[in-house]
Amino acid sequence: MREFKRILHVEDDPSIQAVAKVALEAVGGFEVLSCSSGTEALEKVQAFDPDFILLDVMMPGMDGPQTLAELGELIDIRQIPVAFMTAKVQPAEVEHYRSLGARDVITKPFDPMQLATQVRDIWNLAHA
Amino acid sequence: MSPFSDQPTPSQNRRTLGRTLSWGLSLGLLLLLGVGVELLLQQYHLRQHETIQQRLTASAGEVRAVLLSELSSTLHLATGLASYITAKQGQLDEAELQPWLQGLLRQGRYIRNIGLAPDNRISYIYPLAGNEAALGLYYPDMVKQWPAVQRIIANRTPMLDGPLRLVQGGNGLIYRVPVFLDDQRYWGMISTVIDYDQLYALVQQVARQRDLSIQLNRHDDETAADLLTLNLDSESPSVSLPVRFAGARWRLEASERVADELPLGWLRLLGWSLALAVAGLIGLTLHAQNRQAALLLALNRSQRQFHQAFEMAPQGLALLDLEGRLLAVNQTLCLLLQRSPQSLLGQPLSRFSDDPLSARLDGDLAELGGEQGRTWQLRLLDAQGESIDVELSAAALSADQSTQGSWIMHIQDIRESKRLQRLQSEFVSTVSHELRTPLTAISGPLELINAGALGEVPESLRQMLQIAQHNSQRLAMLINDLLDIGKLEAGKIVFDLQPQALQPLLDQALSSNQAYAAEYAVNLRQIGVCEDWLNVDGLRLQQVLSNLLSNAAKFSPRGSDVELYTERLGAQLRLSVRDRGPGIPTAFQSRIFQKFAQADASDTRQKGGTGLGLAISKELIERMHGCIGFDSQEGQGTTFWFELPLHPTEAQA
Repeated sequence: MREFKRILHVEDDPSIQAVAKVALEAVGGFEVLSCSSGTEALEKVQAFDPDFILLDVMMPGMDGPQTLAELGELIDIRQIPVAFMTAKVQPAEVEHYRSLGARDVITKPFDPMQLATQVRDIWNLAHA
Repeated sequence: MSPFSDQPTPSQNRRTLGRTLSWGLSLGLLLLLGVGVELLLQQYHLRQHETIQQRLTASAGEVRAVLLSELSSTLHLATGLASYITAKQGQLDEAELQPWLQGLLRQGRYIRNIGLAPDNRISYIYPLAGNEAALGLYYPDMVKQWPAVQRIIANRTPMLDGPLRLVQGGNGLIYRVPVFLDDQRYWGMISTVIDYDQLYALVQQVARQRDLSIQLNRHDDETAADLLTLNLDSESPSVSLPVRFAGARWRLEASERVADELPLGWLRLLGWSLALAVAGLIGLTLHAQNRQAALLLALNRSQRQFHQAFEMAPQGLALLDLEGRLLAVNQTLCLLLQRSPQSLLGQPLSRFSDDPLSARLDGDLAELGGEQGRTWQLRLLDAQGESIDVELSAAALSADQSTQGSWIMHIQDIRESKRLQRLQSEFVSTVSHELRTPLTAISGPLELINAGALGEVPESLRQMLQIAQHNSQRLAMLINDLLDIGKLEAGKIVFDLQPQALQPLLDQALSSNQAYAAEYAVNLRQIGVCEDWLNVDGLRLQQVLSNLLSNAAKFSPRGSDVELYTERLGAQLRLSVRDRGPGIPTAFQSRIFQKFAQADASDTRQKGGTGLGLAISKELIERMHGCIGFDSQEGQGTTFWFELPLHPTEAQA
């Protein structure tokens, strides 16, 4: 089983990007690459080789689900779990995201002290 | 089809005319009845006189008969004496005559004396005592009597004369019988003097027995008709009867001793009183009818007004019968549905809806007891099939009214208000969402810093950073609540109702709120254990429990307990959260479930909270088919409770 070290975070809001980066690095001890758009993520994903991908759903240009679909072409998302971050967490919506290939959904706004734990739980479940 | 009807407008003049007519009519009636009374009285008067006349005539006739019979029984004795003298050829034997005359006198009660006058000279009188003066009288010498005596002799017929004053005193009747012998030679006269006073006394006595007062008068006028005459016009009615006997002509005047008083005055008074009463009653009846007619007209006018109000109301209005069929619809409703009244009447409202809720409408109407109204929101279809969101309010018309409709229903087009509501919700949702992102960017770093994730925070900054974090959390809570209520109102929250055991949900609610309660030095605890199952959305139930528990903790005195307990009420389970706080001020109780409701504006800052928690809780519980409420007394603490249906298998157990 590979070590859980690198997380690719795709988020258009630079503040949220920064908070998540600190939360995952300072609290969780991960290595985080922040991308500001789906396009940037597609460009960098193979070079970074992440163990986990966090995708914001609502983004200008390419949105979360679209980015996920494109990522599926480049990497094996069964090995590299993807989680959406969104404010829309109605049960039906969660089901929809799962059907797209996401492992889980992390509710926005997130608790920065809990974010690392949440991510680790999803990763563990995916590799159980 | 309309329950109202058109009538001409009444005029004030017509009312006045009606009143005058009714009183005029009754006055006329009074006069008519008065005339009738007078006619009746006259008839009665005549009848009365007829009766009196008959009675008087009969009684007077009886009196006359007694008089005549007494006279004839007395005077035929004198006739017998005449026959005796004739038989004796005028040769009188004193010895033989004496007992004869004695017998005569005994039999004839009223005979005062009997005198015999052969050749017109009174030569014999019996009894002689007291009558001596008459002895030896010669008729041709008696100037007064001689013409009468002459007539008797000429007519050869006995005659009665009198009453006249007697030489001997008193009143008498004289009966003279001429005696002729067998050879037709005139012998002389037998003169019988009758005591008139005695006879008259007897007649008077007989009359008195018959309640008559009588008078016997001579009536010598030969030409006067011997007819009964009546005198009814004098004060007491009387009759005059002819009495004829042996040439004597009298009249018997008789009248009633006690005049029969005709109570005409009283009868007239009674009659007129009755007439007045009848006319008055009829007048009153007419007056009342007139008034009633006026009232009816007024009622009609008010009905017309109501009809117009119903027709012209700017809101859709309908009358429905007990089965929910339309009995009357107004213009606005027809316009709203773009249908003619004819196509609507007689149909249930659900016929014009594709809303599944409409099927329940009829049942709801039947259930609706009457007093309180009810409202429904429903989607109706117009003639083009376009859907119209409406709000229906119905109220029962009381059963004793004779109106056909059992329900009055108000139908309001709420498309515009729904659209506004939706826009508002979308706005709130968008704004909240947009607020949340930068807020996360504020609260996230503060939390990381305060948690020490970025290293030791200098003491001088710590307090300020904590205040900033605390308030950013409050802002987040407010935004969450706003989003929730917005979604609830927009109907965007889908409930995931699952049968589940309640106890784990309670445990979770208690543990997740324990830390918050600890800030107020309050302990949350459950009394007893719940083994029941509910059909609920676990997350939403948690949200409600958190609201109630955190509220209770906030308002509890330090060191006290907040108690959570459950109880079964039929097919419902009631969950209660009891605190020992100050209670809810009475004035605030009615507003407590309203949005942004807080007893005291200063509470917001003092106690924290958005003022949306209870409004959200109420919505959530009601969406899960439950109800929410509270019991509170100021100073005695508060118990908030909600009831949810037990899971069916549970409820049966």
